[in-house]
Amino acid sequence: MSGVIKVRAERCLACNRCRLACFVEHSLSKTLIGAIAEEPRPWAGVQVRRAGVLAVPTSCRQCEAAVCAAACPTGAMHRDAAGEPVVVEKRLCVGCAACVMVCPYGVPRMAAGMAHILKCDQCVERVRQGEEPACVAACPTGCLTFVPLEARCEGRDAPSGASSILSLMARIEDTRGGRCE
Amino acid sequence: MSDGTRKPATIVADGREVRAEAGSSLLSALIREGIQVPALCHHEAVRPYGACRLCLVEVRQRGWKPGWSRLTTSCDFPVMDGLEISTATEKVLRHRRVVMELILARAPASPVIVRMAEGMGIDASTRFRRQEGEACMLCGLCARVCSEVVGAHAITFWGRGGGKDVGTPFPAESGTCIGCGACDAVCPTGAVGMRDEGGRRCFAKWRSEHALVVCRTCGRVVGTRKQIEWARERGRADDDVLATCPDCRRDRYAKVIAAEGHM
Repeated sequence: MSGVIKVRAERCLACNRCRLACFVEHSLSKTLIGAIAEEPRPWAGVQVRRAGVLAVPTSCRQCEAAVCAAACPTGAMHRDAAGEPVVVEKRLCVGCAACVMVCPYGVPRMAAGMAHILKCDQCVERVRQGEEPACVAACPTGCLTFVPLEARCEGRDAPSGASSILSLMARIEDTRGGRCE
Repeated sequence: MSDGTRKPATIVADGREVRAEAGSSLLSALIREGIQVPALCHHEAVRPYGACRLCLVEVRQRGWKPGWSRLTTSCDFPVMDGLEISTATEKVLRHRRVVMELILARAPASPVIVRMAEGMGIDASTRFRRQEGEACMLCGLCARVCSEVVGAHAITFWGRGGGKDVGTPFPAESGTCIGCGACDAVCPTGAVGMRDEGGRRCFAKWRSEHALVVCRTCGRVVGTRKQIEWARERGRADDDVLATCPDCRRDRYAKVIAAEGHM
């Protein structure tokens, strides 16, 4: 099942539980205490940013025409199939930072003490096992929700001209009574 | 590496059956299978080179007389149907130990190498002449990545014998180096010594400096000018993106979500 992480900005309390859950999920020990002690320190792909009076959790948009993947000289930044998230194959990454330079959303980063790029992988392993991404599962207010692509596309034409998942989403009505476009 | 004509092959590694593409790197197949083989100069993004010699394994081929075997580096040995691999026999460990002693003597200033040698029970009192203060073990991974992946061809081996070194030719500041830092990221021993300070990106090993472009909003580092130009060509990014640092791009992204109400 592939899907998209939907953000409702007005519901974010800036509690950073998404960030902590991401940090723990991407650690070796998968526990908070263990993750804090790990070397190199695990890294969270989701970040809560201030935007005026609101706080907004930001992570990778998983662009359909991903510039990071296009810029990658080794194919380390790639997606396994259409609709799947863009992930980094660590074995192939040489740390040239081309993806860091070109991402318009500042998502891929070179972390200190690591020899490869880090970015949100939309918890691809969890999702394969039928779970939600860690940030979504941890969100107490429903600010973050994981919406299967199929459910979002129901009753709609195929998104032929869509250049990104965002534009796909913009064309689909909000099933929970949000804004319709 | 795949050219569509490669066939699947089955090898036996430490008694386990392993399937891999015939002609691909033996070390890559072993690592993929979770078999621990030490290696320093190996990287999947570039062609195997066999510089560090740590990935030694013992190879037997179906049809060879009993007792016949060959000791070889696994990174640049091709997977062939019917290979039998032993990664930790007494013979392998003995030779690997000597290799590690030599590497430790060559680059005793690298914490990675010191730790690795300690793990193999080798202390600092090696019988080989130690090159004090040296952290580079001359594996050339930096030069291979610079040429094969980045395409800058800025660093190479130069000099001969005991005077052999890796660096920019002659050695002088390179005109083709873009300052991307891939050499520093892949270096297994931490010998390149890249630092961003005072608006310059300095490479201690290459004795070179690059002017850094800073974010027009916050003043944090974006990258070197040549690195940004290189990325622009590869990723079709626009000037607006390349003039701001990743942190500011993310803040701007958050503001867009806030203004839209959802994403």
